[in-house]
Amino acid sequence: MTRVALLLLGGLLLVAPAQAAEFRVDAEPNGAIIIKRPCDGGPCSNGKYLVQLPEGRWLRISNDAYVTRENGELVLHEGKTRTVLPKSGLILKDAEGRSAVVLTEGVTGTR
Amino acid sequence: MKIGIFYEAQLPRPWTHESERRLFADMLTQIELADRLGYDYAWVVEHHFLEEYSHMSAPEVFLGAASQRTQRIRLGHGILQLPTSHPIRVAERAAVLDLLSNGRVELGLGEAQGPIELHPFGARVRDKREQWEEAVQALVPMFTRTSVEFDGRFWKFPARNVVPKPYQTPHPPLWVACSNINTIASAGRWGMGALGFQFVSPEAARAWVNRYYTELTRRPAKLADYPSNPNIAMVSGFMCAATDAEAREKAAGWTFFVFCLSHYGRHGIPNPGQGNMWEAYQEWRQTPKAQETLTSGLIGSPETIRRRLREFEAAGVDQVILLNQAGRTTHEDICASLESFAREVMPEFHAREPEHQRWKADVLAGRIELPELDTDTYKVYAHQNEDIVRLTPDELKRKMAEKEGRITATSDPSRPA
Repeated sequence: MTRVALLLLGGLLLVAPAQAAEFRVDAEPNGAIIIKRPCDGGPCSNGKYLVQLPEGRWLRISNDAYVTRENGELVLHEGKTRTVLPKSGLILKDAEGRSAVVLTEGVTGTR
Repeated sequence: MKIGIFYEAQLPRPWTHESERRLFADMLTQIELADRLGYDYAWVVEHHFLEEYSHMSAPEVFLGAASQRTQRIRLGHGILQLPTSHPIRVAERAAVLDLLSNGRVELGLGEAQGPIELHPFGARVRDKREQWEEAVQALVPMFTRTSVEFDGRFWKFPARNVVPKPYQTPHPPLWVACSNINTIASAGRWGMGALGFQFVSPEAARAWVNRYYTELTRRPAKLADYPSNPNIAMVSGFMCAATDAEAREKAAGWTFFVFCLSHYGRHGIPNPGQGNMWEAYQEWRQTPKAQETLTSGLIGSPETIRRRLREFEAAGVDQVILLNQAGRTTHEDICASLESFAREVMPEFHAREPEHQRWKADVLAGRIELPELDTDTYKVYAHQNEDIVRLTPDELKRKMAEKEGRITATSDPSRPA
């Protein structure tokens, strides 16, 4: 969980505060980050895509971390640690195909 | 306490060419009356193929008409079935209704009754909970997001902007059907309003209200990103008349409702178009169970109803939903009952609503901590039989798989029966 928290804090986006600002994810091409806060305004609300991650596909967060969907649940893998993320988590994509996993509630625990 | 009215669109046989037209016209008149009398909500079900029990297969059309004949009353989908409709169509229809009604929609979401309703739409009983959850996840973002794509197990679609958007922001309040009483706990975790039936007693109501708010505040697990809708509502059989005896006489429709609910659950529809629920009901309606059912609702004189309602109010129930249109209860009796209740019962409950809202705000903010009471003692609603089978989604999946296995085994000529 500590590593999750570090990831969450480390995974900071973002851009200008204007409501109509373009949504951009500060990650490498085809990469992803995790944001832990409500998506209640600003560029986050203008996310161009909201996606349901297909079963078995994964989003690369860092060299040893990725998010995938397993049996309908979003799961964060960090090394050997597997953490089930809340079902309310959103995945936003920017125009370049980079993704942000937005968590508005706490993670549900490690399995 | 808020007061709602509830519509299944029941229509016992025999039918004439005029029957359904008259039914829908009368229901609209009743909702128009309820709006004028100060009722808070009009709830409408969605059911398919349940002859006599419910002819409300297109609730959004009906509520669209109601929206043009009312000014203030909230218009509730109680519920829309998610496994039998594509989530995009649900979002579109809910948004249009919200626009037409100037933001008066309440969006209840449910799973459908069983194989009778699910199979013609290609949905399966064993999948309905998972399909429902996935549909909620697909549906909610469509109300606010300008681009949504989805790649789930049951629903797949490329990025689209679903228009129009609802008038309410971010979207109409979300509710979930709790025909199985245990779903109330899930409703709390999901942060959705709970649409259940009348509890067996004030003690049962208190236990389940406490359970609901405890789950909502301490164990939240929303299915998508939406605002919580902390409300617990119960549907009750209803008839308000001058005396208890007169009310029971006029409320025979409530026993027809209970009979049909149980009958379809147990027997399905062996011969579509050939049954006659009203005839089948005649024998049952004389039984002690039927007579007992009449005591399970809010059926009686204003004083009797007032006394029962105070107990549920004290337990923390947010809304009572009055089921008036049932069986052969007449339009005239329904209107008279609505008028009598509005005149003699409703005002005192409306007057105490601000007090209830303050209590709820304290509960939600943690200033009042509700004790976790035992809900295991209360596993059925007042109108349900103790012997009905209630399965969890996982138990249901196992049972259906076993049943399918038996059918395969007996129909395969290469295998022993």
